[in-house]
Amino acid sequence: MTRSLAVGFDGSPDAARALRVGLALARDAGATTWVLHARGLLGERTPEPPVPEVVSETVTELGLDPASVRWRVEDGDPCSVLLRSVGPPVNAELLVVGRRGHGRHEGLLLGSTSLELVGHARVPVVVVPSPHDG
Amino acid sequence: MTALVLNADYGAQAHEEAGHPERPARATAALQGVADLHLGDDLVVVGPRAARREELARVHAAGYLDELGAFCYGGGGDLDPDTYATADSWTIAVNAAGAGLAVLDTLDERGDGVGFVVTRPPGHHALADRAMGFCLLNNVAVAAAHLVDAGERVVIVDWDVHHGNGTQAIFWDEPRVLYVSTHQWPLYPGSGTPVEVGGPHALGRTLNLPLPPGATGDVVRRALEAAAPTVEAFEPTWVLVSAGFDAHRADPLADLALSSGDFAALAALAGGFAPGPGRVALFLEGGYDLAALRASVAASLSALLGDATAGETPTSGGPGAEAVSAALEQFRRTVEVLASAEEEAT
Ligand SMILES: [Zn+2]
Repeated sequence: MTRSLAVGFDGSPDAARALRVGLALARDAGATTWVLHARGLLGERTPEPPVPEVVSETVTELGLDPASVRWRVEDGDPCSVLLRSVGPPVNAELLVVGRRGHGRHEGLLLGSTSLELVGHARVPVVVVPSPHDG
Repeated sequence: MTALVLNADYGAQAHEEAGHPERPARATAALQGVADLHLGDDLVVVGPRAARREELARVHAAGYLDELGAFCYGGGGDLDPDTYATADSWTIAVNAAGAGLAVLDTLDERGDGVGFVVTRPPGHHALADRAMGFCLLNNVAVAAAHLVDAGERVVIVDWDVHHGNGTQAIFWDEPRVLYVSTHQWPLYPGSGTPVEVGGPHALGRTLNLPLPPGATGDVVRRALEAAAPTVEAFEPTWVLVSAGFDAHRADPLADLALSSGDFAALAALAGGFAPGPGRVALFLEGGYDLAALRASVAASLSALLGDATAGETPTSGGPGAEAVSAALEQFRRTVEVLASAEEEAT
């Protein structure tokens, strides 16, 4: 089985930074990167959202084989979607997330996907800090 | 005539975010559905009653309760991309959880009647330690845990169009609670497949019946009928319904195609699971089209009070006729495999 890691992507600046880190790690490890977008209760149900430009741009910029990067939209909240990704079909061995997503509250456990993930995940979690983090 | 026991605190005053579909007008619409029944003296209003800390702690982590309370008192904000809290939300959520307890206690004292708990925010996505999917506290779970603590056996029928992942997780390994859910799949929150059957102490106590987009009332009715043998074998002493009305064809958040009359049929089926009078209560979960919500509440309650033909014409002919038997078969096989694996391990 190919090694794989999952990056949580919600389109926020922190997610873009996490994407860059995840792709670089995957490139060095020869792993597949799954870029996971959580479609929430309020999300558009159809059609399937296309791959965001920043994803394809970062893949090109880092010189990755586009076939090693998979874009996937899953129903759920960001934390549950990433926790589920340790199972099939993603089988992530590492989770990569930004420090904060959209509408998060700094310093609070509540509402912080990164902190909740660290508390619950069965695989290592890489939390990519914001430039403003001390 | 059977009485309807309703909570006094409706959640129509607060917990609101501009443009969010989970809004106070939902509680008002549900109440209009009750008013449409013209029950007169047969309407019994109880409460308000706030859930006590120890009642919430039966299903929620102490740390989560502390944080949620502090978060709300600090002014609130977004808890996830779907879920908000305001400065009033803690109070309103604690009253919603308590409303269920007030209604159950009254039903128990009376020994008859049908319960309807108008709760906002809804509860079935809320996990032990996390808010999720518009939900802060898991109202139906707090109520079920209250009954279990008193020695009861509770079936939770969840016909909201979304899977009640929070309720499932909270009672995952609890043999005295049977969780039965019909829901659209795929759809938020992504869980609710038939292979999710409960933990090692509660194998077969979770029964998920996922249905494809476009499914009509006949398929959902068939799903509840198919669940009946599992429910009867469980011998519940109480029936709690996570009554979301977002499977209605007019609902903006999902793609099932039920009419209000279908909810009447579902209510009659769920009511049939009760061992006697005064042992069934509906808890409001989703439902975001106000007219559909009002009509579906009226039809469901009407059915439980004796008129199973209430509401719009029941629907049929949508996809998913084979989905129910396939899901049930997958559920049975998974329980069997896991049970024999358990046996081997011991
Ligand atoms: Zn719902």
